[in-house]
Amino acid sequence: MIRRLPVYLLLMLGVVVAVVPFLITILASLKTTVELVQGVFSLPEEPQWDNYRRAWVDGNFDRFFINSLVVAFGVVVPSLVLSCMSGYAFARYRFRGKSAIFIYLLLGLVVPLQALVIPLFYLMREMGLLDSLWALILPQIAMSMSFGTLLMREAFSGVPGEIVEASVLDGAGSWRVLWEIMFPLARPFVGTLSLMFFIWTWNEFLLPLVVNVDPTFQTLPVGLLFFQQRWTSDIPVTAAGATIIFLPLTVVFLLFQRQMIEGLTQGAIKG
Amino acid sequence: MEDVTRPDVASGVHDVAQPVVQRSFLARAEPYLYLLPAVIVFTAFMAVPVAGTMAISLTDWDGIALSGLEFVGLDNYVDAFTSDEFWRALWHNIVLIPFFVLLPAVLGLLPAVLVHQLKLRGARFFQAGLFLPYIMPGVLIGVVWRWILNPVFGPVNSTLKRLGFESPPSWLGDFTWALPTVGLIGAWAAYGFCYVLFVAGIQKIPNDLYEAARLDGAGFWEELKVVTLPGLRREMAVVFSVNLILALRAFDVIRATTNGGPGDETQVLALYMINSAFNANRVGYGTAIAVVLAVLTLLLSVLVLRLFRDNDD
Amino acid sequence: MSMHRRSLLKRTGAVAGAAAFGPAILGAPHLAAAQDETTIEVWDTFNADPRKAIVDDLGASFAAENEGVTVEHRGWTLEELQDTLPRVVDSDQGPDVAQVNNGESLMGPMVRAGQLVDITDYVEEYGWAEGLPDGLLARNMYSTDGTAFGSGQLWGVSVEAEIVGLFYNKDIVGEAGVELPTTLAGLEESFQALLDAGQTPLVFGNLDKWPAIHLFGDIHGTMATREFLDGIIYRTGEQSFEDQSIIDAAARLQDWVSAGYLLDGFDGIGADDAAALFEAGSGAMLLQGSWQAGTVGSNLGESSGFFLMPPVEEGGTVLHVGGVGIPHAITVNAEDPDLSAALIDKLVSEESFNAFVDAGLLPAGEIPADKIVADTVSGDLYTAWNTSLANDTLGHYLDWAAPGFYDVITGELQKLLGLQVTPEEFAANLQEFYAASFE
Repeated sequence: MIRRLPVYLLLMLGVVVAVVPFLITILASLKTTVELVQGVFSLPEEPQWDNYRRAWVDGNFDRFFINSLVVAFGVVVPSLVLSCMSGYAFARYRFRGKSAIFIYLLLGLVVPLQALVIPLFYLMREMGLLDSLWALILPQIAMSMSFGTLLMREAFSGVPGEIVEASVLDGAGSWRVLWEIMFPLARPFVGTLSLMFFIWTWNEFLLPLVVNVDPTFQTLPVGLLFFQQRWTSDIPVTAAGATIIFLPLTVVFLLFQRQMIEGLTQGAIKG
Repeated sequence: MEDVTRPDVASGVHDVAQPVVQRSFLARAEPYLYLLPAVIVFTAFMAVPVAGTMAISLTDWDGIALSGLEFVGLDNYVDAFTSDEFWRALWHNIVLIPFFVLLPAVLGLLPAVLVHQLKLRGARFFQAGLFLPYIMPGVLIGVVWRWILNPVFGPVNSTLKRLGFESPPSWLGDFTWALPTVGLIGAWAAYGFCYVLFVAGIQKIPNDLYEAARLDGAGFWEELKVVTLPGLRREMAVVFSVNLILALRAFDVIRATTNGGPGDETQVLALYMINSAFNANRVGYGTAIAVVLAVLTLLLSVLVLRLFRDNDD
Repeated sequence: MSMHRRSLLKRTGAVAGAAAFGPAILGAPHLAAAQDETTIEVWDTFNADPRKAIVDDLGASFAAENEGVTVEHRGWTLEELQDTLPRVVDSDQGPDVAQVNNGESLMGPMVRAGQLVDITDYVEEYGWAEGLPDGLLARNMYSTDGTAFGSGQLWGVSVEAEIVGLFYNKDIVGEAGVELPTTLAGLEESFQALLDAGQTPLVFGNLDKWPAIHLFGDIHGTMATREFLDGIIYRTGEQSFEDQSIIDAAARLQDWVSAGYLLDGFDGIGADDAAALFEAGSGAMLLQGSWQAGTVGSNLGESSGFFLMPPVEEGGTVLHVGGVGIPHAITVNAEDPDLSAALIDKLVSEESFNAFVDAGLLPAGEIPADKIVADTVSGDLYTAWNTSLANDTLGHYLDWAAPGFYDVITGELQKLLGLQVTPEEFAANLQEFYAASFE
């Protein structure tokens, strides 16, 4: 069709604008400091692979990487399960206090994290969890509840009533309806939500910065600070560190994206 | 709140299966059991710290030692409401709203609709591409855009100069352009999220609605207006409220690009809060701003959710 | 040390809980150290080589000299350390020895909260103050109640030093036929000559906001008296920002902007990028601190040099932005303050001093002549530092004047540089905040 070509071009332009900053970062990570200012798109005379070694070894990124992974999975999986359960309760049941509890959970969306970190520090201190990854995991599960509940309620509300009705008539209990009927139907949303949770957790900066008292329990984004001295920072090594941070995210995204599309098609057929 | 007025389809089904009269205690407790874990975690690690924040906002505290807390009542709030900095920061947040909320919604909706309606191949490719900015850590977004917009060696200004603009502004350092520029960077970072939600939402719109519209001879815009937009209302509500919240809390990108400058042209509430609490060691005052910000966010999100509520059933 | 033993008791319950929770990676409980062993924990910002290696080595050699003592060194980023330290000390945990940023940013509040140990006696006992002018010692001083800055007891001792000045590119400056200026007016003539030769006279980037403090502070240092500057910073209450020196310096800076001496687009360029531009050979001079000497030297080599901001009149005095670096202090949680003091003595020992110089860094003290290589950027820097130290002409960072003043002065300087305010308005705006900070 004639209309398609301009649309493709438009979309390609959108993709280029989206992707270019990543390419710039990767390029920067292979340059020397001086080469950085010779043009954003200039190629390094000789790729400085050593920047990666320095980020990984000197910057303790090897350790931070594992911490980030543990925290990410420690947050995403429980958050997902709890969000599905609470979203399901709101989408499927009518009960006393429903709107009140819903609003209560949504309040989490309006509270900026910057306002919470200091009380959280003292809370974690009282629980004796300051120098552990728990101090990063537990609050982030809590922070995920608001959006998770909101989105999963929306997702489950969209599941056609007849499908649920049919399975209930087949004798399925509510637990089975949730995980065997609703959950698969809501897969695009589950995919989106897992991805959001993962991104938020993976990139979280302020919480680990304030709540952590032991650098060995630090995560990757705070690790980026490591290349900043009092008045100067090593930008190429920072760029290498940043690349180490966003590459795994990109991979996770691409993996989940396949699942999301698959879920989308399934949902479309059944819906 | 909207639940009260909306008949709940799914729970209606539940009632059919298990007549209300026969509901056992366990059945009645069921929804609460599903909610319990979320509510417990949320209460312990969100609500309790929020209460702590509210308590701190009533004190004069430097944040150094807990013993230094001194109750001052509402003084911090009075200070905030009578300070120019507070109102200027709030105004900057308001200016950012169109950039953080409307622009990403449009930028996300357009490709989602086009890909769906024209049944374009490569939907996955575009989805991957357009979503990427959302993955980038806020700190890095700042660093990269500072390069792109750099007046000396950045591609934007060298292109402009080649096109004949003699002295293009220095964007992030310019008193006029800094705030819109930060807004555009925010829009860049947010539209992938809108796109993904819209794509998921459009897939849920029954195909027969589109077929019916086409039989009625609806064109592209009409189809968008009559079928797609109403079908995306839920996603719109989510996108608008989430991005509105992001606009009100804007922090990472600004901290990493201008840190509030030039002057205080890009100083927003979250930045003002953090600077007050950590740079000026006025934790009580900073948390009071945080509480105001939270209340404001709450009011505006309720407004947005009301705008998008299902008022047709 | 204490952290392990003391907090173990408190934490036992939580540890049991955590153990039930899951895998050890989530935070293995600390094991109590054996009774007669002491661990001194040091938290500082020396988180990367060469500094990290120097402190690690010094710790190891201290442990070797003192039986049963282990030194645990944790290098943090400044921001992280600053945010964490007071609350950790408040929680009866944390280090024995820590770097505590000067003034109201951290030292003042921590002294007031009773979190630091008064080290005045140790300073005398070990002679840490020898060779340091009073002006520099005052920066680590607070009264016992933490209300008066710049006098009273000593709470910290600095290992490193820093001084702001002008790096220059000998090739570019030589081509334009410019001599090193000896007066401020001479500097401006050099700028003009460089500009006429088609060069960028002064590479400067202020997107990060703080570089303007250094630029303005150095210009102001040519016009200010010690009495004024100390009075403002130590908050005697007798000085005002609406001082002629502030207004004159502000006007001078605006002249520089209007004349085009500063890098075009400086308001949109970060400090690191500006430095990199200079190091890439574009631009004649760069106003930066001693911390930049290493990368300037390695990128420009023999073409690079360093000089201090010249005085208004030949032979006059300039109070240069700089001084001794973030001091090391002893926290009240230190198990054995005497031992901690002995460790600090190690950190400022000759052994340490030489290690810093050998790494091309600037330790806090006079650099011996045999360490100075003439006609190199570090040689220029060491000479300039020695002169400034001998004459006690180190000024201050103006953002220390009041809590939260950093955000005010950086914002106002951006307005000044953007020609949004007049020098008088600039001074008045600073004074308004400064005066309010006394209420």
